[in-house]
Amino acid sequence: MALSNGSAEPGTSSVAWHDEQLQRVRAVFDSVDAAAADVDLRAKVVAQLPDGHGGAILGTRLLRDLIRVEHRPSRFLRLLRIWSGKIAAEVWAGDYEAAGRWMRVLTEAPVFPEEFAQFVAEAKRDLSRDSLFEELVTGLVSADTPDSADLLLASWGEPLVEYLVSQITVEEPIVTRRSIVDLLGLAGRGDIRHLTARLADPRWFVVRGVVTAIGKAGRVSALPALEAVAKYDDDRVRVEVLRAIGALTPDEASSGALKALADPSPKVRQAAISLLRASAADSIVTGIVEVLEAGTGSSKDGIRLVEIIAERRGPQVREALERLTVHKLSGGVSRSVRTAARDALAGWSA
Amino acid sequence: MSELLGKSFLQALSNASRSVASAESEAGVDDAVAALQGAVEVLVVGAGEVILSIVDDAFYLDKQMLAHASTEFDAMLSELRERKIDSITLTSASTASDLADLAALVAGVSDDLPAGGTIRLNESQLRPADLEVRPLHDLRQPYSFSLDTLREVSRYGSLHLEGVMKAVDDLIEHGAADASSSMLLATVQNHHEVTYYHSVNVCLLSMALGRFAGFERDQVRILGLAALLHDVGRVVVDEAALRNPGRLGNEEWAQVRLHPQEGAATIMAASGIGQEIAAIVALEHHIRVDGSGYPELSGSEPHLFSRMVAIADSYDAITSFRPYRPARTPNEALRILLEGAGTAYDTDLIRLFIQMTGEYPPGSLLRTGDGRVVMVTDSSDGMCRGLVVRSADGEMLADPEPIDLSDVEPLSQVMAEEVGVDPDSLLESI
Repeated sequence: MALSNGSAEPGTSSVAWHDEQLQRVRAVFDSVDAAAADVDLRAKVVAQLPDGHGGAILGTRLLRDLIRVEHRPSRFLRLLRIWSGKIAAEVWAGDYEAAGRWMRVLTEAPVFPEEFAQFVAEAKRDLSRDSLFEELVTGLVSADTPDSADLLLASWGEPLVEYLVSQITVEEPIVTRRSIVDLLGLAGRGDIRHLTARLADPRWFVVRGVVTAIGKAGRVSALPALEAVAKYDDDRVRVEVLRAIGALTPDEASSGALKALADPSPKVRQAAISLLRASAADSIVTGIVEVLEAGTGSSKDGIRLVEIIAERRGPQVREALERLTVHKLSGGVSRSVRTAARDALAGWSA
Repeated sequence: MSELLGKSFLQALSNASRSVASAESEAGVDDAVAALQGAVEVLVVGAGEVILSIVDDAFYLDKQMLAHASTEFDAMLSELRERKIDSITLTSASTASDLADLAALVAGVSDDLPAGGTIRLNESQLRPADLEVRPLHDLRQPYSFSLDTLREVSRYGSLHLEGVMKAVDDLIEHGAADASSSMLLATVQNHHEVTYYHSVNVCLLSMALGRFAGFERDQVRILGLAALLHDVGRVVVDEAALRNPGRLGNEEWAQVRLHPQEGAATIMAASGIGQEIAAIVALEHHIRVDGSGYPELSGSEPHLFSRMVAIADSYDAITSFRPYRPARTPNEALRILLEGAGTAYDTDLIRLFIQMTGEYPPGSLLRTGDGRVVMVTDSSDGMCRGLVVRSADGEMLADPEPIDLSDVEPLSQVMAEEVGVDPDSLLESI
């Protein structure tokens, strides 16, 4: 059967096919015929089918597109309601990874017009109701894979931080305080300033929790804020500051720990010793020797510090231990330290 | 061609009832009733009286099902069923006054006809065993259900994806993935509910294309859902604007251009299986493969389903009447699609669509070299079959004759109005 040019029939009003169009159609039909025996065309199309697991990713991409092109306030508000509804639904369903993807539709590289920023802020505030946070926190603590919530918690930011901090202060938090602080650390990852701002809280136990959370958040940019509370009145805070700094900058933590050996609080000094013990850097040996020679700290601390030196196998260890055995007429190490150094030297082998 | 006359009567009754319902001028109502009377006179000529029955969910003229007309006038069918009207007996003596009352009854303005009139209601009851059922009837019922689903979206302004998916499942269950049946049924149009009918037609065509491409049933379901909802932004917003005669003004056009994002947001506000893909198709179905079109989105090419639905959407739109332009033939539609291959449409999918339809898609009207007029009914598997509806000497055949078109040439495609036939009514013969 051939495709004919209807216009070739004089006196009829059949559809007119221009020659050029006809040739083009024929060419395409020919190519179709050629492909008919070739299953590749169908296979090529079928290969583009979605794999069935990308629904949520497609949905977030779509919502982002809608938000980008929507400039009518009433319609933009409707999109915000859809956005918050999706997040809430995923939280209640326990799919924190999906909830995180929906959250980032608005929090990651915003695509909405600047004049709608206030709408977005209000929508986020409306979403951040205690009942939903309670569901999130209790769900996460009992979840098998709480890591899947990293994105969600980091993106939620300030409202979630505020809720978690409030849980630190209540007499009976919905989960353990340790869990609250863990989650607080995750919530601070998106913007560490949400946590560092809380260091000004007048309650020492809040500051301690926040300092711990900052250590877990892993943002080095928080160091100046931590250093600012390094001399906090309460030694329980100072201990956590030391640990947090150690967690953020393991390589440089030893200098802080060495300084903390002079802290009047035994708890702080103990924390410092633990940090030094955990440090892999051989360079701490010289620093410890200098501290011991300065005679700061208790005898008990001194003996522990000698043990830390002796646990190492670097070439400078023997020299350091020998140096600690020397008795000086004025100043220098205590007798207990010299004794410990001699004992260590006797049993030490490189 | 009693089917054609039956459809003409239903069309005239629909027009008259709308005229009454919209409280048009007296002259306007009189004109509509006069046209209705004319349709009745032609219908009853030679018979004295005819009975239009409503059984289950179809119209019957005497015992013959008007399958296509039942789909086209689905809303009127539902209205009559709700009013418990099983049959309407029309006679050559039917007066304009009684016909005006009948139009008022259908419009919901009155509850009954005056006793002793020339039109009688519920006088005759057909039993299902008496009826002639058409093969397409199975697919017609889910078609109507799909229309109802979209009407509900419009009525309530919200979407229940579960119900829409049920409509798609019903279509699949009744053979919608079969290309020929789908293309035949997808020729149904309704000028008053353009978007609803268009959406169901695009759903049928898209699912047929998906099946033809080798998709699994679950994939065809999602594709069908997306296709049925691709214009839901219009269903919600601007069905009335589409009925405006003439081309759209700037403001109306700007409004129409928003329908993809309206639709996508409406779908996203619901929840259910396939929601994301359906919303993406609603958003992307006017984006061309070269990145132009609307809305302007940055990023990757349209989703596979968006590209498939775009082809079905254009095909149905081109072959359908619009207030600002006439319908074009299926073959003309294929030509336009081909012209857009690689720019507006995905070339591979266009090729696949043409493989599916054949050169002459079902529903096409062809003129053979000896002057006969043939309607294509099946063009699958490399075969092309049809019905001769007009003889070489120009006579309409009361009983169309089957014909194998594979060896008939040359063929040219003709418009329905050029040869004085109504494809919808011809489809009653299948």
